[in-house]
Amino acid sequence: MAEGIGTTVVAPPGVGLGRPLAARARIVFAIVLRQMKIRSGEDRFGYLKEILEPVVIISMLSLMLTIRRGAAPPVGDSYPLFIATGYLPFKAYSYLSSDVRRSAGRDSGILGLPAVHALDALFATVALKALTVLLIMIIVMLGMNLIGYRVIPGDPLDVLQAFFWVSLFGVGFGLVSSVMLEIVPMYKWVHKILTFKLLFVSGVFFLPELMPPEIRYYLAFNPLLHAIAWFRSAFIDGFDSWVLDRGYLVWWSISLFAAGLLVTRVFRTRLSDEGAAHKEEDEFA
Amino acid sequence: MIIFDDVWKFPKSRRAKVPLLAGVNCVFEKTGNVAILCQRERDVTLLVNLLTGTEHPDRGRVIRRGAVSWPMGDLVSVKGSLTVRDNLRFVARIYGLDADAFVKYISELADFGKDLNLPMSTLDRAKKQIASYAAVLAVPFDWYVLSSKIKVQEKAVSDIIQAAFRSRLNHASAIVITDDVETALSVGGRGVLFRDGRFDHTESVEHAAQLFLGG
Repeated sequence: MAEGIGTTVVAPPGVGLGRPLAARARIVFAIVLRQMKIRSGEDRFGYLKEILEPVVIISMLSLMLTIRRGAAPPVGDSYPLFIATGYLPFKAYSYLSSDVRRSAGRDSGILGLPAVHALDALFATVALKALTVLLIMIIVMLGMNLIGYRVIPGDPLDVLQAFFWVSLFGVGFGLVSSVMLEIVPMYKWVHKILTFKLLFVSGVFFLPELMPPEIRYYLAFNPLLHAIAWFRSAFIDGFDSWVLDRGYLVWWSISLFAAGLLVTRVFRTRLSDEGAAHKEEDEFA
Repeated sequence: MIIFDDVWKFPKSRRAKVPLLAGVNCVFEKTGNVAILCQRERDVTLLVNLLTGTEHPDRGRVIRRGAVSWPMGDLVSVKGSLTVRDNLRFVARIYGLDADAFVKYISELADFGKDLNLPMSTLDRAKKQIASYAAVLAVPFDWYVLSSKIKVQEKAVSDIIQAAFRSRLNHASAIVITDDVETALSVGGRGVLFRDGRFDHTESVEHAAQLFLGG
């Protein structure tokens, strides 16, 4: 039997140094498959819930705003369209940032395999979550079209661009948070505000153009406001936000992502200690 | 080749000033087994983690030119809720092996036929460990890391695993890192004594064991 090893299992290229890029891609893909399996095994209706959540929020908010302010939103044909184009990019940000934060440095034991690096786990999480959130968006929008709301992106490529930058912003924010939560105890408090409360000042429910100038001045510092303005401008025909500064969001996203990679690398010894403790728990679960 | 290049590691608490590793330099060639004897269990864990790369040195570098196994018998990256098959397929994918052949080899080696579709958590610890031994031996690593003696209750399975290990060692090396003399002697080769954060190289593992037991 022992002699069978060499013949039944062929030595792979890329276990050591050969073809590092192909090997990395293979490892990332393996982690993605595994995370999907874990997810569907733990919660049969997990993905259904994730699609229902934005549906419920969008319909409730639309209903509230329609009752309060009448049928016509500031821009676009309907309140559901207005809220969806605000909430979905925000969702991309919050979804990616929270999952990246949770998986950075402490994934469910996969880092115990010497071939798996922390960056592989990060790329796998980002790829899987970004695709999931994109799928959620598409399904929600198709659904809205089916029930009679006209939700068709005016400039699909520009919508994807906005999605890309807000996702990168979320990833960067998640990476920075994962380290900050570990080393600055006070940050917990800031983090709470930065995740949930940002929903109210990012222009999901309102249009920054209609705000008083002195308030708008301060609101415009929030990169997410620009992300949502970008998304809406690309989506809604005939609307072009003049508050929007695309470069501002792009710079925030790139800087935050770079800073995130840097701090997770600098503090990796501290983070991986936590990860090791977590790994042992997982083994015996 | 694995190279420890001036590797330092400090304890986590800032008050303790004595380093855990004080500038360790060492080269592990692809041929020739090595046994490193440590006084404390935590030194074993630390050295294993540094060697496999799951932990990083505070100063210096660990350079790996080749594939290092995870510690044999350890249940790394096992997810209890996934089936035995899915857990094994994941390992195969990570190392770029044919997943079906990999699973088949292990199920034959350790007689896993019926258990393959059960969640990993339903297996008893002994059975899980057999799976881990079989999985590590099914991957053609350059180095096999061993931190405690291969222990398998069933004689037949134990013989198969020992034989597989020996046949692997024809083309690879074992690195034994342990606080247990018996484990160190089970493989043989070069002996290293880990004391006061440094490596003391000795001519053989028997010699290292004598020094280890002597003080």
